[in-house]
Amino acid sequence: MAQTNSEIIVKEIFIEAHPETLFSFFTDADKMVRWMGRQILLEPKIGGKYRIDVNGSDIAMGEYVEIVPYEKIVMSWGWEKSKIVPPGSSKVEFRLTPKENGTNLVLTHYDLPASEIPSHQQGWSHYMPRIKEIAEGRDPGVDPWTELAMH
Amino acid sequence: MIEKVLHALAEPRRRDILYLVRDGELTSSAIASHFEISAPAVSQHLKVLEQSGLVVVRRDGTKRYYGIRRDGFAELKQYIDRFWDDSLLRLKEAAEEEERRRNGTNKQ
Repeated sequence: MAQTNSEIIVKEIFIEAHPETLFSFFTDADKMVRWMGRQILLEPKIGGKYRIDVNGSDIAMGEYVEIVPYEKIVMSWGWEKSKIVPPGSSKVEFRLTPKENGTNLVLTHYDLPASEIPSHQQGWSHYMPRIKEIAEGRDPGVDPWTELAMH
Repeated sequence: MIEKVLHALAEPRRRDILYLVRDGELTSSAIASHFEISAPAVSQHLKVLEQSGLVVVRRDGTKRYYGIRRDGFAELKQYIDRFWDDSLLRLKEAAEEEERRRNGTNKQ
């Protein structure tokens, strides 16, 4: 079900409901709240904003970027008061494909923190893959930028 | 949890600190020696990193050694990953229930 790395998350799930039924769960706050968050405000049109109180302390915010009825929803995504993933800085795409008696749903969360950090003088894009290596317990090798970076 | 991690990573100097301690522990004064900002300012950054779970502190006498906490990074990714796993399962349940309701008479 999951295929992930540090910058993108992809998930796929089969749902026994037609795309017409499923689609409304992305555009209707009363339905969305049944699967995501505790309290939801949304404006389901391109450029429309949404606010999802995920758990009482984390607030997800962004805008609808793309709405293709029964096929696709793209929302910009971020967290309130977050400088690194400010509202709308990453992107979540939901693709609905009819399959047999239901819908195959593929979620792709792009631009997760790693790739969206504003670059510092040394360049975060240089650091993040290395930090990922470290985080995963591998040795990233000698940093060619060591001398430049820290002094 | 996630808010603290995101906040911690937002500051370039804190990312520099993470990079410095990537290979092993360093004392706060060793870390401070790499920066032009004041020692208290560095301490403040270290405190934020510690609270975020990205860095772990070991005390030895009066010295404090800072090292990277690998789990902190994994947690950030896991948080988002789990969030979608949980949400999608709830979506499946809710949408299937809705579908049965729409089909009405023969099912449910």
